[in-house]
Amino acid sequence: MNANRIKIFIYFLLTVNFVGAQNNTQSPYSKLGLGDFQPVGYGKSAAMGGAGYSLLSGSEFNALNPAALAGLDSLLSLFEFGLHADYSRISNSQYYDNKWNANLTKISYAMSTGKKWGMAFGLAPYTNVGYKITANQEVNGIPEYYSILYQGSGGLSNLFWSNGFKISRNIFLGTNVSFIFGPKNEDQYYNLTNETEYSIIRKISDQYYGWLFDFSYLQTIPISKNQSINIGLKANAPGKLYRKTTEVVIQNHPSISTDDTLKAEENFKSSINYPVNFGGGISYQYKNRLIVAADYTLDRFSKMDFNDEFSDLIDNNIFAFGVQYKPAIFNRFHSELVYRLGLNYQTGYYQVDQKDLKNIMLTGGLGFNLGSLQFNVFGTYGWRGFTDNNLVRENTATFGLSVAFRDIWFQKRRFQ
Amino acid sequence: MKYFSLAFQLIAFILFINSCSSNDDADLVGNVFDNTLSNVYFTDTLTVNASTVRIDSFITSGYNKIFVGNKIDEYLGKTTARSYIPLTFSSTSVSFDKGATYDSLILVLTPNGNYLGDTLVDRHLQVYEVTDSIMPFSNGYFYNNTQFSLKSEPINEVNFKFRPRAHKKVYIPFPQSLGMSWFDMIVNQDQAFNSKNDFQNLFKGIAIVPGDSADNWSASFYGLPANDDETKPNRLELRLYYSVPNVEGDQYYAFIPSDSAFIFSNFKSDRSGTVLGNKLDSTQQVKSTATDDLSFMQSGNGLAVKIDIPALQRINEISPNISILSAELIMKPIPGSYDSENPLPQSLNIFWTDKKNRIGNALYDITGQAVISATLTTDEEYKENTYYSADILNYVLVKTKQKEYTDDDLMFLVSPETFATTFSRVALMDQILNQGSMQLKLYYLIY
Repeated sequence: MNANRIKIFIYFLLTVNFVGAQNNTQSPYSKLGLGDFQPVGYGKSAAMGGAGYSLLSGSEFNALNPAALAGLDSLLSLFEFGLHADYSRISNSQYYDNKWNANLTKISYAMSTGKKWGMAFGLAPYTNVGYKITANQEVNGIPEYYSILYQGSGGLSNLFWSNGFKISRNIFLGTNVSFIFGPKNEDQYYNLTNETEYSIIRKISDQYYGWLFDFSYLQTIPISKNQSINIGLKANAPGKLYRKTTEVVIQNHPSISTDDTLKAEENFKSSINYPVNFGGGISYQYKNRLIVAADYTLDRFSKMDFNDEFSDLIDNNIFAFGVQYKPAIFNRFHSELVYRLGLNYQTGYYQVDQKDLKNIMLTGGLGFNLGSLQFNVFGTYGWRGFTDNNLVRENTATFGLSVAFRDIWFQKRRFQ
Repeated sequence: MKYFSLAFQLIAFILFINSCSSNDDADLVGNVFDNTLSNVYFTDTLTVNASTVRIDSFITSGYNKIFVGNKIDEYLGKTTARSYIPLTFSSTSVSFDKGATYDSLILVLTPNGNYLGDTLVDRHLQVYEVTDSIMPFSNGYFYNNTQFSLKSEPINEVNFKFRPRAHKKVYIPFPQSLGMSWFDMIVNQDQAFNSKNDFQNLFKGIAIVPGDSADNWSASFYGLPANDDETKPNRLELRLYYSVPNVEGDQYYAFIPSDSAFIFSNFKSDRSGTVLGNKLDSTQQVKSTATDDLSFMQSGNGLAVKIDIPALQRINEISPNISILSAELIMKPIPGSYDSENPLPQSLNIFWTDKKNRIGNALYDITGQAVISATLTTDEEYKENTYYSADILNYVLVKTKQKEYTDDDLMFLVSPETFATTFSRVALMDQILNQGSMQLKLYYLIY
């Protein structure tokens, strides 16, 4: 390994801490389950509606399908990070609230170790948790309501190691090992008196960790000299997420100088069965000019058993559709530019009043290279939920960027 | 390499903007998370014990009010209030113009607007000369049971109709002989009128005493108001009227209260034949169950209501993981016990008290900043739902934290000024008489 690459790893490790400690959603729905699930794909996939199971590229890391790692150009390495900024409006039938948020999201290192094997590792957000909700609940023993403030923070991260193998000329297999970890915290504020300074705060912190294993398949079917069809499949093995719960109850009593801790219960352990989820995609490719891709994913969240009254989750069907177009060469600059468009539709992992929490997202983006830097920018606009019955609807616009630093292994530089 | 350092700088920038999220004030009143399993509970069935407590002596001076009257209370019997006022010069010395002739000596009282009773009926007032020096205790105060000797016969007594709202002054003439002798002494520069002290040796002060004790009324007069109008004074004045040749109209010299802090009322009560009877004669505290399931607060007589809630110290029996969120005490006066003649005080003071029924500190709110009081909610229409309510969370928190039974409890009484200068009375029902009339509304969290 040369000095450059050693530096890359050092920076990588330094950055890992920060990625793991971020908190970049303000969705009330992130209270549910493990939080708000984050898209797996990078800039390219994000611009194409999240589609990507069947995408194979010699120069790009496809996080959706580890099998595609074996298709990387020989001895290529890619150090890549992603970031995004969100602007969202959360509204119900009476109120709305605008917020924005910017974060570093993903960081990864992918490399081809030869003609038949590629691997990658990195850190990506798995779920995000961030909310502040006032809800009304009934008092037991009297037909009255009180309001409770829920404040959530945290989010789970995915530390992954992916491997892709070329089995034959057109068939690739992939594996991925993920270590899922991170906190999901909720503070509950109870205040039922006119004395606003008096409250009881219940702080519940769930620390999750667990291993997940994915298996994937990718096949290229040439149709003609210039055209091909790709298919990709991915599924995970059933797994288990472990949860350590810490509960602290604090009585906030300003006339006593320090807060009174009523209860501090640590490390109550439980586990959640992680179901088998699977997805598949198909794409059509014309030279390097046009890619049309469509994906379907079934997240079987109904099989996840949370001991949480709210998290009555249902299966989420995700349909993703995307197009990438690279214009004919007019000049040197245009030759570098690719255009992407996409659509993502999710039936939702939560049901309220018999209605699914649908999520629709339109996406678009560009990709270009500057020297050995590869840029993919994307923008999305999506909406989720509905404002009937005083429920919450979210409209979110996201601008994102992923930057990959390309390097070739064992390449002797003439001027070092 | 230059791209690599560019990438690193980008990362540094992103880590910087990571802190730029607007995560505040995201209160959204969605009902997605409403109506789920709640761990907040309510109860109003804890036993609340009430007692009537007698406060032996309390300060009645310092309010600058001359409060007199009789009260015949259906629950508590008869109370009489009289006021003592030491008098002195209104200037450093007294003298008259040459040739002045005596006219009359008249006591002038100005009602301050607080009057209870029939305004169409003649009221009877007596004025006595006090024979003792009207001097306070060493702490500067007079008490409800402080009294000074009077001459056996009143200086004068009058019948009149009150016009409290018009502040119509009450004039009580003093005997000519007394006025004449004072006039002569002044003209002759008698020793007795040399100084204020000398005058007080001659005439120590007056007591204003209600007449016929079967008469049910009370009135309050101005003492020595701080912001008095010199031309139309509201203060109590004993006016010595005189005439001067060639000067139109009456002249007078006013004797006034020597010190506003020395005006006080004395109360006497007779509870024989009432529900309380002599129950409080030998003890200081009587439970509501012994007095027709009622407990009483009364001004003048020094009656207060003491509350204790024994279950608070055993609250952990409900659950070891219990925490109190809110505590409101509701106390209902018995319907029919109040009307325009017997109005309920708008608020009640709350104090900590002990086994010996001593008045301790006021009850403060949870921040320790504001004093808590019980406030009156009036049901004008049906009268059934008139009640006092008080946020006693701080008390409940203190009690629930006590491991051993202690006798510090709460005492409710009318404000000190009301206590000293009115006949206010509150008759509260206990839980036996009516479950909802004395209750602690407790909201708690089981965590």
